[in-house]
Amino acid sequence: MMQTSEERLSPAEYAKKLLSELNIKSVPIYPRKIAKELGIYVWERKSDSGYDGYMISVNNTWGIMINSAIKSITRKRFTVAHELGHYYIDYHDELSYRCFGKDMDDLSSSAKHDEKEANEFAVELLMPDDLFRKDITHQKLSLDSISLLADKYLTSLISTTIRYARCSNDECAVIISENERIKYLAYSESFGKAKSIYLLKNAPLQDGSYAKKLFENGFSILEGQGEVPARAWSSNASEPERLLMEDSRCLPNFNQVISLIWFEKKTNA
Amino acid sequence: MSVAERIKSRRTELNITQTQLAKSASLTPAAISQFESGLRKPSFDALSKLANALKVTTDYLLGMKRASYEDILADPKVSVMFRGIMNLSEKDKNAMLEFYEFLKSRNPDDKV
Repeated sequence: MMQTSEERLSPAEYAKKLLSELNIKSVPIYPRKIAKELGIYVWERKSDSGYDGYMISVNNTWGIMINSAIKSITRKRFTVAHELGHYYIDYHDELSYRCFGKDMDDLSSSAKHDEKEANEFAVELLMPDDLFRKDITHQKLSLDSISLLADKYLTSLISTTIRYARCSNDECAVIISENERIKYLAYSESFGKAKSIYLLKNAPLQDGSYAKKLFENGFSILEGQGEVPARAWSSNASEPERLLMEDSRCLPNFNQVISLIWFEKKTNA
Repeated sequence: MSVAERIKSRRTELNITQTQLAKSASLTPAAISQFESGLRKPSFDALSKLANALKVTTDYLLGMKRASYEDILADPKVSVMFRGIMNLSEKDKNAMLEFYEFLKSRNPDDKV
């Protein structure tokens, strides 16, 4: 039966449905185990054409080919979860999906629609909303504490921080910068609503931010934390001198800096 | 697999009836039925017609050798199924076709 758009589940809802069908209630989630339960074969072969994952269906038998050249375990897990999305989302009805690293990059805006949906599915599958929200309540904000969460969920620091920023009740944002410019940003609902500072993709980093200092020092210093004025992150902040917290860290493999910024909760009534 | 089984399995794979196969191979439905049950062996001429209609090689039907990757890719159904396979390196293409053959040999009801 055709589904109308109202009835159509979102990719995240599909991931929730799958977890509940398999009665999975604890993390870390093991996407390969899920594949096995669903009768999907997973093979690894080194690819020199550069694909990360390939999903194919032959006479209703499904298989996922993973590029064994992917070095990071978290990335491999994400790739399997992403391919499971192509399998499980009803409206992904191609017989094969060939997926490149850029399709699965949180930071890429070039990914095709299907690929973005499979990514949303993978994020929810690996960091289920209800469990993740429970884990971040009463959590002290810092990249260190998010690192511990990443260890628990077996996910990358970048994707865990992005998930954190999107789920958090705090007024916080995560920024990934490259070449001293903002490459990617994600923020919490309250950060978006408050409009205390405006962050723009591709905008140059401002003087006074720790992120800029890390670039200026050529990554000889690997991290920096502390209070900075709002103007260090936005040249047109509504209150330029208002202090915000920044926790920045180099991602030397990629020549990037990840920054978590947040406003401390106001203590006055 | 015998020739009879290969004809039948390929026909089922293409989701066509014996009558439809008979028509596209210019043979009689009775002949197809007999080939598939193994009551009669196809002549070389009939085999060639069958291979054509079933989009496989006569070698494949005879089980002479495993279908080559070129043969597999020559099947329009297969090349349509693989998104972007033509752009892969030879090595990757072979790995994917090996995977394809493996998946094809599985019974969908088997658990991994």
